[in-house]
Amino acid sequence: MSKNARVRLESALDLHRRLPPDMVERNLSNMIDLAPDLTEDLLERVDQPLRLMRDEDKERDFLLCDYNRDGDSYRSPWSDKYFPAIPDGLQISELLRKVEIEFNEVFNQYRELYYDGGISSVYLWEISAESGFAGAVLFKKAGDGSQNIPGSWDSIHVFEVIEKADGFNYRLTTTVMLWLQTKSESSGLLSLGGSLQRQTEKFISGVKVPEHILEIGKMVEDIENKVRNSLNDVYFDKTRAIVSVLRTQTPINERIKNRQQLAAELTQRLDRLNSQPDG
Amino acid sequence: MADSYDEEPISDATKIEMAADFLKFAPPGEFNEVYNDVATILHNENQMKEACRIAVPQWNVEQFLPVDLGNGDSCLLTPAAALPDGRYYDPKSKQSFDYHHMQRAASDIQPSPVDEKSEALRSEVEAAVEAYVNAHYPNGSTSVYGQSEGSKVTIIICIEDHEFQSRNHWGGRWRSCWTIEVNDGQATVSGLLRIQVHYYENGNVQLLCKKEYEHEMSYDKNKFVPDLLKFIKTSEGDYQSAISDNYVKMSDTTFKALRRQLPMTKTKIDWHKLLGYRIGKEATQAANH
Repeated sequence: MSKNARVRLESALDLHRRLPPDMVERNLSNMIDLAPDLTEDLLERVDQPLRLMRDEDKERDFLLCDYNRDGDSYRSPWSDKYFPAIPDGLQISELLRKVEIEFNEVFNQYRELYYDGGISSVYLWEISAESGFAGAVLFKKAGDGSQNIPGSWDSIHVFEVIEKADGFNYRLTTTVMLWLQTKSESSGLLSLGGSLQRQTEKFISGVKVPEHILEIGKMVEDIENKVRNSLNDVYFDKTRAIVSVLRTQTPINERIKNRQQLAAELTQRLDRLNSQPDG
Repeated sequence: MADSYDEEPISDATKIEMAADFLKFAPPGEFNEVYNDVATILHNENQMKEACRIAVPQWNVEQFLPVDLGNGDSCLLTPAAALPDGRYYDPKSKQSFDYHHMQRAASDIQPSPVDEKSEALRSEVEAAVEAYVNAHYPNGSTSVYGQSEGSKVTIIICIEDHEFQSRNHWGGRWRSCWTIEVNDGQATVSGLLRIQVHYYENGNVQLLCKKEYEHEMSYDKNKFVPDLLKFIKTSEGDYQSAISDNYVKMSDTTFKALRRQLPMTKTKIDWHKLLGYRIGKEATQAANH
């Protein structure tokens, strides 16, 4: 990639982190129109809420991402077919497909245990450079609307399993997108949404080949639990705390006289906010 | 992918429109960063200038940007401050000024005519609002405008507070706008409260809040201003409490409905059990070759 293209890509990614998260699809589409030469990189690096499509063969929904896309068609993990149908769509090896089926069955159970509904999809692909394989584990859950609180959760886990001389290296990059919106008489319209990213890596040394689904399953579970706690404790609390920095319920008494004290109080409050661990 | 390049390249006008659109949605306190990003992607000075011409004044005015007029005077840049000739008005110091939107600087500050009919009420409200803002907004500013039309007097109260900590990856702004129409012993109060918070450490989380008010009050010259401020203070305070309560509800209810903290067994998954005696073990190992 040329230096110019790299600089523009970094700017596009930075911009993506600043624009309202609930406009990500439209923003990504506009970004691609302004920088068509960066299309592939943007589609790969910018996370959007997962869309789904119907596998007419297996009568089951599946999730769409760049990793099961060929042109404008998407490969279903259930039937291994492209929708809409295309001749010569990208296929993985028969052997890897067998593994992909396994991954889908296992993570489907994971989905049931943690999400009690929703959709999961797993896509695998060969890595050409080294010995190993890579994949994407996707989950999507939308609120059922019964509690008057629309919301949605999207997980995108991209992993790599690489065989080294003395063991196996697992790398996982996770993005969780969460969106909540409430409408009420007392609090008006409130939208809270966004995404968090995490990365983890582990190395399992030894001669015996680990059970990859198990190792990746544990990594996915651990990271999702951590991110869920982060979202709950730090991000909700942090944005709520920032509101209380903007306006205080209890009056600031004798503001002019105690300006120094007020400034110290505010700094303390902000320091507390900033030092809270990210989880 | 070849199919992406086959499409018609978009027109210059569309590019400018898209760039302007990105600028319009810059979060409070991050306009410069968004500007730099868009300029880099667009890579065309003239188009960028045009996009800014469309988007920047609108963004500045909608954000209620505080303006320093020098001489100890300051005011907010708001829709109510806009004059027909493109200049802006500070109702407190009774001056008008030119505003350079890209440099964010006021110039050519001149005394400006005052709307006599509304001035008495306006300045009384202004004094009360300033005391209120000093008490509840640690870094707050306000401008209070007065207009009249026939027997109707309109007072517009704008309040703004912000805190930006880009080094710690967060920022936020609160905006209140209260419009009071007084006519014939009656006052109609409409309000719009808006909050935007952005947290962007290892991610992008935004809180967007909006609430509107409509309220009727009787206008009694002797107690109107205290009553009005009481209404505003109570409304804004209740709103802030309701937001806090909402957080608890979201955390307790919605979150759970989206993803459990743990499966119903209350323990993490027993992966060995889950995998059972899968034939997949062989396939997984075979995949390594």
